[in-house]
Amino acid sequence: MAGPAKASLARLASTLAYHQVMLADARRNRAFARALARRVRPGANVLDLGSGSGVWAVLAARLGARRVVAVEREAVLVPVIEALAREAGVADRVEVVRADARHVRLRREFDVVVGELVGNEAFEEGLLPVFERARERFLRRGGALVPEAVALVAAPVRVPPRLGLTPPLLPATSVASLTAHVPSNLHPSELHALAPGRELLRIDLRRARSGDALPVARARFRVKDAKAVGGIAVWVRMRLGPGIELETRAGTHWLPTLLPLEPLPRGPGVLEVEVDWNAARRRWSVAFEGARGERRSASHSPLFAWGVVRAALARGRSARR
Amino acid sequence: MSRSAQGRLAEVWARSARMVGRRIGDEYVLVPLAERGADLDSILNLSRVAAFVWEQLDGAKSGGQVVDAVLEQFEVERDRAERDYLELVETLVELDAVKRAPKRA
Repeated sequence: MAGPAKASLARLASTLAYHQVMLADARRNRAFARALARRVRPGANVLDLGSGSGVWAVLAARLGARRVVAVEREAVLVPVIEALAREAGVADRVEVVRADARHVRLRREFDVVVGELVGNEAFEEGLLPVFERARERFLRRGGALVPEAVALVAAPVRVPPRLGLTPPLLPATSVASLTAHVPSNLHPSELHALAPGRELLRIDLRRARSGDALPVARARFRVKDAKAVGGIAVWVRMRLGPGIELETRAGTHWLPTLLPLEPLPRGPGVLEVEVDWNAARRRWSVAFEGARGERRSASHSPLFAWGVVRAALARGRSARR
Repeated sequence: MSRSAQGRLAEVWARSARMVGRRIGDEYVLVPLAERGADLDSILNLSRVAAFVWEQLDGAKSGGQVVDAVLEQFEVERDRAERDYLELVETLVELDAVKRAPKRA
């Protein structure tokens, strides 16, 4: 098989596999379908940004939309969306535009903009700039966004014993000390919360400006035994429409994010957590005050890990000279 | 020592709240808490002595007192300790990592 064809086949396979996982996410599907049913009026124009397999575009047409534009940058997905629209009998009302949702040019003619551009960490798939642009340029006055708000929710959690080698074949604290500064994904079955989840921050997509930095978020948690806390789990809560919320803590294809923490003292107390979720300067700090007055605080950031590795690289370069 | 160096050693500096320091293994790393995107070049790796000095910059000790503390803790000559201290403070000032503490009455 020729190179480009082979590459396209590999891309098609991985893209379809990825979308299959989303299509199998019943909780996500029900929530988005409810939101579209609430928002799409007969005769409406609907824009689906980052359309993927096209399910929301096609569903919007089935709900009575007069015109639906599905914007998808993956070439291999364009015929997939078109086939789905034909199969559903709405091909005459679904137009597929192959373009990047961040740069697509359209008219201001849409009553509903839907975009499932929410990543495990909420904003890493370009949700804010894409929705701001859609809101400013494509959405009619009084139109609706789906989702319309996105929040980060956090809770202190136990951490499964997975840092380092299992079983401990050799010491691996050098790796573990670096990974203590790097967020990772937490499988929902591993998420054992030690306090009720609290909203860290909430972004209203109907007003948010992508140029604004996300505010540094703070939350307080009372824990029975701080020693049990291995990290802070963060997940996403989406408001898809009035009374329709979807949380990614468990039961969806999304994975919560684990912000690891260094060991805390034994006993009850209060954890003050501060999180800077901006990608380029991700940082989380915790200040613990125990019931007996003991205090412990620490900051974590991938930038610390970078500082350590950068120093080692510099030493290696000077040794080779 | 020059008169200006003596003057600089009398100054009192305090760690800025916009920098966070962490010891990881053998490294001590200082990271800026930037308002906008992080400047990776502003991350500082401190030697053992520099990390010790950083922790002494509490807004109360003068440069001379910090150098005295270094001499108690490490085997180093005063001239060298003073020179290294002043160089480190200069770097930290450039990175906005320390603030001049108000003069005490």
